[in-house]
Amino acid sequence: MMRRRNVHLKRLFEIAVVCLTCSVFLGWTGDLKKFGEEAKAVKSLSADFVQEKNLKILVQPFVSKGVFYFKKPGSLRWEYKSPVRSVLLMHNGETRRFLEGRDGFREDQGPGMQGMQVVMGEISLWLSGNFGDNPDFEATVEDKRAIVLRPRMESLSKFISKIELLPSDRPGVIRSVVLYEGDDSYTTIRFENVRVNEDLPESLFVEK
Amino acid sequence: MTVFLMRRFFPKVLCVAILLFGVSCSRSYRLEPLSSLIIPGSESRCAAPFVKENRQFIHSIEAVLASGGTASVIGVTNVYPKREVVHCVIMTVEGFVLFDATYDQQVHVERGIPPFESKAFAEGLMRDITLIFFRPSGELTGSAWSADGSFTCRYEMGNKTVEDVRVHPDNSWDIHQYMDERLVRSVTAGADRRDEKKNDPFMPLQLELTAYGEYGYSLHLRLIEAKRLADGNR
Repeated sequence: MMRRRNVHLKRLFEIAVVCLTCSVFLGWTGDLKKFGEEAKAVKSLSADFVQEKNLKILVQPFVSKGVFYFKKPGSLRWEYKSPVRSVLLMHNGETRRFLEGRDGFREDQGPGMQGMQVVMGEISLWLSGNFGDNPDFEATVEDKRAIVLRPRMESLSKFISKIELLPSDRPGVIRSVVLYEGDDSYTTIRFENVRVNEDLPESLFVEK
Repeated sequence: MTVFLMRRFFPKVLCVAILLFGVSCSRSYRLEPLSSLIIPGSESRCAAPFVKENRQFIHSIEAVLASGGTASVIGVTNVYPKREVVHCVIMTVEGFVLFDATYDQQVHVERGIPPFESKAFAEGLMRDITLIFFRPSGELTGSAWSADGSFTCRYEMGNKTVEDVRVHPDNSWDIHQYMDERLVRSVTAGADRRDEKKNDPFMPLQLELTAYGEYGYSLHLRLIEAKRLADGNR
């Protein structure tokens, strides 16, 4: 039972990171295969992001802001600047998360962190642009407007009902990603100031 | 709340936590005598920390175990004091909803992602929330001034539960909850307020809830947002 729960949490966290990471790479031509080809030219990527959490309970969407860095083959820094500072680091197959508390940054020991170790494999799969081989999601293009990812397994759909990737007109850049947990709960992430193939130092992916 | 965090997230440190708690239990946290006189105006003085209007609070919550283990989440809490109704959502920093439940004399769990799915977790969480936000439901049985200018009210619940509410001159306050004369919970609110909320003693920027017992824990709440809810919401 405990193992099954951990697997659910692990998958949930993986999905978040994979979506947030890979969605920025996509250049929109309405052709999923071409996405993969264009993604191969991207060696590194960085962007600012604005995340809005929409829930029925909330008077207004809960807004978080941060920055994001990615470098092939699998180094990631996903950092929230406000309102709660946190840093997620992936490098050389190791995943760590740091959260700012009363006594400064400390390494998070919450659920799902062990599962982050396998995220890199997922990211590699998505970056190849081969959505059809993804064991977790089925990808379709809807109205030539968005790529919609739906979980293949019912156990996963309890956590995420679907994911929408909304590309911009600029090749290699996506405007936003929307993660739907249910009818009344979804998260929108808008990317801004996207930089492609800049030289990113290794320290970005190691130091909090 | 963190009883469950401990059981699920940190099973390996559970034994250490219990040992550490055993040490902490050796300290005296017994109920102290208080004058049974009720000073005029006690009710209003001691009502100051508690929510009077429908409000929404968003906190970052840092849970710390006796062993030193930690976990952080975002808590959204809608409180409706007249009906003593609470709606609470817990989500990760990344925005995933782990728990969504309402307390309206009974707990109704709308969503509970493991390890937050159990009813016992929901009930424990709601007990902590009501302790922080709602005036004690028991009878006022005593009050007293302290030498430092603090004012204390004692409420007795009738089930061997006693709550002391103490308001300090600088707007900080604390609550101590006892069962069988032994301290089981404390809530401490600092004196800091948002600039625009200087006169709202119930809206502290920092709150600390400590649970004493077999699986002791503390929750540090930092206020991110506070908004008034429309009367018609509940």
